[in-house]
Formats: sequence, C-alpha cells, structure tokens
Amino acid sequence: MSAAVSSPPDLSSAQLVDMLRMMLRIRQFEQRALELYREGVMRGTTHPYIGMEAVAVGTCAALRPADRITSTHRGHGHCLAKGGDPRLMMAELLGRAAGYCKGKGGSMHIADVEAGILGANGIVGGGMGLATGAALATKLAGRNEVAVCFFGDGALNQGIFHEAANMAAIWGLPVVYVCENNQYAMSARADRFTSVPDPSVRAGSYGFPGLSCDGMDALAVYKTVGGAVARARAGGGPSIVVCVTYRYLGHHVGDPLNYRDKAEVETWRAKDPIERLRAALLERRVLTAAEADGLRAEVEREIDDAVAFAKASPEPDPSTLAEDVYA
Amino acid sequence: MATEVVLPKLGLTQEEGTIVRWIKPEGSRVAKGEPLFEVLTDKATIEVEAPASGVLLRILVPEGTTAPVATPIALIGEPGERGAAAAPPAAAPAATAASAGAAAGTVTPRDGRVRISPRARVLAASHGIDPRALRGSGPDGRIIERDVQRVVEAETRGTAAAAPARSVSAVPAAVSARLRAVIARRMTESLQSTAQLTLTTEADMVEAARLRDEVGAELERRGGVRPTYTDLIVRAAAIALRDHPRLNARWADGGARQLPDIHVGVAVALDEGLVVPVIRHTDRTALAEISAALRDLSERARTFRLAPAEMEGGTFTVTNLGMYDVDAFTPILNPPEAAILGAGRVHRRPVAVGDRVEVRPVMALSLTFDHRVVDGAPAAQFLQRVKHVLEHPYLLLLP
Amino acid sequence: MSAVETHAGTRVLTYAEALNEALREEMRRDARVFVMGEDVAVWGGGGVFGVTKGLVEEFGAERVRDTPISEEAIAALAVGAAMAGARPVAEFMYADFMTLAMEPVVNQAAKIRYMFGGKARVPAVFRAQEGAGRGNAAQHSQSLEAWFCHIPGLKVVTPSTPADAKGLLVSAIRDDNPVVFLEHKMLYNTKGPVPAGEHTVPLGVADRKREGRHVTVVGIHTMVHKALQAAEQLAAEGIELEVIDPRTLVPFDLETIVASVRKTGRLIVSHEAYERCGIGAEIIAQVVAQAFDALDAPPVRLCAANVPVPYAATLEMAALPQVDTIVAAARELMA
Repeated sequence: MSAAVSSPPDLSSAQLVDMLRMMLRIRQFEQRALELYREGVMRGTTHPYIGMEAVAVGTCAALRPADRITSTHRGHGHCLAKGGDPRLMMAELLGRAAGYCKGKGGSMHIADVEAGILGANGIVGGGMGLATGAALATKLAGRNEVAVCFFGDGALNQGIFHEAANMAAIWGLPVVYVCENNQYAMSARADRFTSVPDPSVRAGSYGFPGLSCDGMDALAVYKTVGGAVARARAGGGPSIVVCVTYRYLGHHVGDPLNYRDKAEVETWRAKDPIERLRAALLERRVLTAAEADGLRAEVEREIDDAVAFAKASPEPDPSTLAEDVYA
Repeated sequence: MATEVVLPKLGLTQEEGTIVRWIKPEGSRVAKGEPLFEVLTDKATIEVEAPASGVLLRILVPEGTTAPVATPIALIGEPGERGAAAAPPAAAPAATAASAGAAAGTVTPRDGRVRISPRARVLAASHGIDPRALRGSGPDGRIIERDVQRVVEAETRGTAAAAPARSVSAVPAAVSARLRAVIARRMTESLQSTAQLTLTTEADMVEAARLRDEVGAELERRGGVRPTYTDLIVRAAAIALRDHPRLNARWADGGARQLPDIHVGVAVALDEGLVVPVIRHTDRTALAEISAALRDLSERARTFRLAPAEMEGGTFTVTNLGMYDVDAFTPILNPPEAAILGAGRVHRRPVAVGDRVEVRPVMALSLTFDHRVVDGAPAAQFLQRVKHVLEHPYLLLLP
Repeated sequence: MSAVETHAGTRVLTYAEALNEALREEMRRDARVFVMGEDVAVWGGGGVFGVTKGLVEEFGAERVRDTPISEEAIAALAVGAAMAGARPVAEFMYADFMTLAMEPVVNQAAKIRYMFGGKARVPAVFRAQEGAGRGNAAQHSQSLEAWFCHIPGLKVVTPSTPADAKGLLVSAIRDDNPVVFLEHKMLYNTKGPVPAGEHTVPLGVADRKREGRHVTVVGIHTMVHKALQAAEQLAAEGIELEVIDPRTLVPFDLETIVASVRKTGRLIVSHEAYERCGIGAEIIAQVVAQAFDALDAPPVRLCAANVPVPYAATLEMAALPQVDTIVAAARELMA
C-alpha cells in the first residue's frame, strides 16, 4: 500500500461555480430550517451545519454519482452536497409524506440510497461501519466506487472507529474517513477529550495515511480529500482526512452554549468559507460580483420553493404506520 | 357447622325445580362429588352431586316437591351439627330469583366467585348448567372441562338408563302432575287470550310421497334415515313462513310484531304430556338436517333429556296427529305464537283429477291462527302456499 | 460429507452439514452472497462448528472472509455491504458476543428500511449459535432470541432440525430483510433427513412435530427434542402431547398454536432462554388473547432459571428445563 496520496483533477470553472452555489444552498437551507423550527412547524430538533459548508462541498466535488457517503446527525450539508433534493429534504424535516423518508425518518435519517446517500445517522459513529461495509461490497463486486464516511471529532473515540479502520486497513478497502473536527462534541472540547492533539495521527495505528486540512477552505478540502479519494479509487486503500472547521451555532437548537465564548465564534466567522470561495472565484475572474449575487438570489428562490413545497405537502396518514417495516 | 345443599339453578330461565329422587338416603355417608339427588327443571332431569363430604343429616325437601332455586334442600355434616336454617322452608312455588351469593353452593367460591376454567365455563353455558352446581376436580377445586363433561354425560346416562323404565308409573306422580299443570295453564290461557280460529285444506301428496321415497333411499344409502312426512311439513311451513312473514309473528305490547327469524317447533307427545322442541332457523336448514334434528330432539324429549334452550324461542308450531288417523282438527295456538299448523293422516281416497276419478294419497292441513295478529285472507294464502309446496315438493330441496 | 442415502431424494445430514449445504448452494446461485466472521475460513477446515467447511476452497477468501475480533464492525460492515448491493451472511461465534454488535443490528439494520421510508433494504443474515448443556458457563451459553424478537424490523429464526436448518437458511439468505438466524450448539451434530435438491422452508410457518390430543407443547431448539422424548414417555400413560416447533419467532405463526390449544385446552411453552421476559411470555400472551375461552388450565412456562448458566454439571442440569420437567408438568396438567 502506497503511503503517497495522489492529487485530484483540477476543477473547471463550472465546477467552481457549482461549489459556491452548493455552499450557498446549504447555508440558506439551514437558515430556513431554523426559521421553520422557531415558527413551530418543525418538531424534534435540528443540528445546523452553518459554518462547515466547505467540508461537505469540497468532499463531494471529488465524488462521482455512484460513490457513496454516510452522514451524521448534522447531515443536511452532506445530503445536499451529494445531490439531495432540497424539496424532499425540507418536506422530510416537516414530517410530510412527500419527504425523502415519507415522514418516518426526520432530520437525522434523511437518505437517498439511489443517489449514494446511505443516510444521516442518529448514532455517533453509526455510519462508520456502514461506509466501510459499502466499500467492501464494491470491492467484492469489482466496481470502481469509493465510500466516504463523514464523522465528527466526537466519533473519533467510539469503538467502531477502531474496528472499522482496522478492517479497512487489513482489507485495503476503498473508503475515506472524513473527520469534521469542529472542535466540540456537544460541550466536550476535542483538545481535552481526544488523547492526541492532531487526530490524523491515529491513522498511523492502522498503517494508512492520515491528513489534515483547513476545513474552512473548500478548495483545500477538495484537494486533500480528493487526493485520498483518488488513491482509494486506484486501489490504494483507506485514508483519514481531518478537516478543521467550526459550527457557528450550537450543537442543536436550544444549546445553551455556555461552554464556548462569543469571541471564539467571531474569530471563526471571520474565516467564513462562503466568503472565502466567493473571493477566490472573483479573484480568478470565474465570476463577477453581480453574478455571485445572482447566485445567492437564485438559491434563495430555490429554497423558498422547497419550503413552499414542504408546507403544502400533506402529513402521512396513520394507516401507513406499519408500512415499510419489512421488505 | 353443617353444609347446606341448595336447589341449584341449572337453566337460564329456571326459577324452580322439583326433586325427583334422593339418590342417597337420609343418614347415609356421602362423599363430595358423589351423585346425591335428581332434580327436574322445566322439562329436563339433572343429576346433582354432593357439595361436601359427610353424613346426609337431613333431607329438607322430599321427593316430588317443587321449590324455588337456591332453597336449602338438605344438610350435610357430622352428626350433632346443625344447619344455618333451623326449620325447612315451605316448598311453595313462589317465583324467586336465585340469590347471587349462594354461600352454601356446591363449589366454595373465593370472593363470591366461582373458580372455573374458561373452557369449562363455555361448555357449561352451552348446556345450560350453572357452574355453582358443579364440583371442581382441578387445582384448588377449580372446575375444569371434565367436571362439566361428567355432568353432561351423567344426564345422558342416568336418564337413558332410566328411560326404559320411564312409563307413567315409573315417573313420580309429582312430575306428571307438574307437567299436566303447565299444559293446563297454557292451553286455557291460549284459548282465553287469543282470537283463534282454524282454516283447513287438503294437499295432494302423490309427489311428496315420491320425493320422500327417493330422498329417503339416497339418505339411507349414505347411512342416514328416511325423512318422515312431519319433516316435509316442517320444511314446507318454514318456506311458506319466509314467503308470508306475517304468520311468523306474535301479539305483543298491544300490536302485531313480526319476528325476524324463523324457528319452527314440533309437538312431541309424551306419556306424561306434550313438549315442543324447536328447530332454529328452520328456513335455513336443509330437509336432511331437519330430519336428523327432529329425530334426535324427539328421542331426547321422550326421555326428558332436552335442554331448556331447545324448547325456547319458537315462532311457529307444527303438530301431526296423522299417525292416529285424524284428518282435520283444531290445534290450539302455542302461546305466544300467532299460528300453528296441524297435519292429518296421509291416506288414499278417490279424488277428482280433471273429469276423472282417481285414488290418490291426500292429507288434511289445519291452520289455527290468531286473528288479532293476522287476518283470514293472509292466513289462507299462507296455508295455500304450504299446500303448493307439498304438491311441488322439489321446492323443499331448494335453499 | 457423511451423507447417507435413505430413500430417493432424502439424505441423512447433520444440522451443521445441512447449514453448510445451504450456504454452498446459495453462494453458487447468487454471486452477491458472501460469508464473513471469525474463523470461518481457516479454522479446522471451516468454522468452529464446521458450518463453513470447504467453502473457502470453492469460493475463495474474498467471499469467505475471516475477520478480526470486532463484532460491532462485523455487523456494521454487513449492514453497509447489504445497502450497497451485496447479500452478506455474517457469523457470530456465540450469540453471547452479539451483545457487542447490538448497535448496528438494532439501530441500523432493523430500522434503515423504515426510517428511510421504504427506499432502502438490508438483506443481511446475522448467524449465531445459542444454548447451554456443555459446561460452557455463563458467557457462552445464553439464548438471547427474545432481545431480537423485541425489535421491529428484524426477523428471527430458530431451527431445530437439519431439514429446517437448511430450508430456513436458504429462505433467510433470499429474504430482503435483516434476519437473525439462531442455531444451537448442541444441535450441530444431530442428524436428520434432508430432502435433496432445492429445499426451502418459508419463514413464519410453524411445524407440528408430533400430533396429540391432550397438551400443546411449544418448544424452541433443544426443547423441541426434549418435548418429543417426553411425549414418547407419556404416551405409555395415555397422555398425548402435541409438539409444535414455531421455527420462526418473527414473523410468528400464532394460528397453528391457537388451533392446537383449541383442541387440547392446555399449553406448555418451553425454551432454554431465561424464563423472565423470554419469548414464552410473548407466546402465552398472544395465545391467551386469542383463545382464552379454549383454555382449561393456565398456560405453563418451562424455561431456564433466572440465573447465569452455571458451570458444574449438576447445577447446569438443574438450571435448564429437562425431559422430566416437561413430563411432570404435563402430568400435573392432566391430574
């Protein structure tokens, strides 16, 4: 197994614009979801991805439609970035029958298996074994597909991380473990609760590459994760990529946030990934400012439409309660 | 203290019973569960077991006496013990409802409830047997299926064994007298409280005779028995009632009330009197089934083995005196029914067929009906229908 | 394979051989089927109990895959692989070790189809073996089927004979749902007739293993056999047991058992799992709800004592229901 990580192909202008659009889409989706929650239209809770858009978008830009991802409880960004339909997602958040999961899953269980989204997951680390298993299946079938497991700093310390990483290593599976290190697992600070300051070194225990990158920079994420994906696709086996990022808001709606200070949040907001990519595209003359604004407006309309669709959709009929328990 | 033996309630509507026979004499030692006495309810005799072990200290109600349900009828205990009641009550046939908490019942209930398995409870109910009259052989004295089965079989065995000897003299005079009294009361009541009159007609029975033979041959081939003319008449009456529902009625609450279901009763003559077992849903019962049911009911009626439920709920009665060479007669309504059909003998005599004279089998049909409930024309139409069905007896075989 | 031709179309196989045949035939039939677990490929020619014997030679190490000792990952990878188009048969050496795999089995496999609105399926089989009687002590002798029966979305199978084992494993592999397939360690070497050729037993159909008029005995795994022995003994006393093997616990064939209870009026349920909250409680609750009026006596449970399975022979025997236990209970019901 080669320790070197290859480089992903260069991004075209169109792809770059798509990335910016996608980040805007995620940001707007999350903001609108919070509004719906405050309106009282959404039940349960939601885990906003705001601030972390670069990780989902940079990663998925390196994936093909047939590749698979597993997501987390904070999964709207991953699902959108992998091609999820905002209307079906919004309808699912509002528990409507037209939602992705017919109203039976909600925010934490959004999935679109056809699109390679093997589900957001309510169990921390729950997707780790699933992504590794998906990689096993594709290897057995001789298909040239890669599986990506999104997970947080909290999942680094679940037993399944160790088990799955070890299996991926001994079998050379085409899986990339993308750690979104947003510094906090609820109130648990990563630097206090993980035994090493840089989690990427844990890859060394398994003998595969462990990399880090700036999770507020979509292009950096693309380059690093893309390289790991390319390596996996070429038969080079698994890697772990730790993307250092930050969630501007709480763990979930209603988080007291008494474990962080506002000043820290401001330092991270100053590195906002959307602003960063927008500035990069303007600088490279891929877009004009007006076009960038146009993108924002376009996305706003899209999300408005998704919300309207969701609100207009009927709730599931109680007679469907026992459907789909078994195939 | 001695245990009181009370008269058990063994039928849904039973209010009193007559002690037919004390199986164990006063002063003898009895064991719990051993047959102790026989009681006659409305028309069935049931053997009842001793509820406790000990000496049968006193018989409070002698054979032939009628008493209300729950009346103490004997005491079981050890010599020297007394019962709760100092003197035996007068055996007056007052209509007393059975008390729910019959403490001296044959099963010692806990918290006033009888311990019985669900299966046994269902079986007891279907035979009209009160669980409180039973002794349980299951754990902690629980009544289980076999305890009920034993009573059911004992009824059959006991009365069947006694049946050959059941001539008028073998049945205690008290029983005959009781039945006589019931019949007397009901017949007088019927004539005094209804506006009954009788219509007669005559049915040509040549086709019916042929069908009876042919159907009979087939049934015999299948191991069954030949239907009787009474069977045919019952089926014909049921079909006609379906077509003329006003005859399936009664006078109630100041008006004529049609009944939704058809249950035809058939008068069975006993030495001691008359009983009328009922075939439920006769219109939905095929001829062969009617035949088998009537055969069974008649036999059991003659040996006093009918369950009370089998004699209740009739909506119409058929009575056949043909075997005694009677032709037309005026049957008395069986209250509260609105009609009764009497059949005479099937006999061969000359009749006009077109312009010729032929000798053919004919049978008189006599319909008594209550004019309060239905008028002469509809009653006659009903009778006409019965005649038509008997003369076109393939109709008996259609559902 | 020590197969003996009895008459045309049926051979006598051991329970382990029957399972082996099921795996072999299904792996030939469908390239998506693969096996993974601890010591399934190399050890003793194939598996601690020989169930995977000879498979790696025919299908290769990719499809007959030894794993590290990582029960949670074995189950989780099976779920992920099933979602990505494979049909995994994951083996857990002892049912007791499935405790480490509960998260992927209970929270993922069982729920993915429902949570995702019917738009996904997890056609995975989780095989394990249960049971006591060999002095394996508390952590290697449990019967834990009740836990899996409790979770909507799982199917649970407990074959007691070689023919049922083969037929049910074939059906389980072909089923598109996650199936927990529980074998019994004391049954692996038992022999029985197995039809030749394709042999499937549908999930959710009970089997009356012996007809009788007096007491219905519902048994699982070894208790089926003990009930049959008790029946032989009691027949001499004129007591007839009707022995029913549910074969599948979820979905459960209640109808067959209710029909039997309507006939006999008496019910015994016997399993090796601890009595408290075992599957016997569920079966009795369902029967009573359906057929209360048919019961002539309260239903009886004959199960393991509520103690960890002990090591010493006398203690282990005392902890588990035996043939004598069934005989005594039936006699009491008929007293």
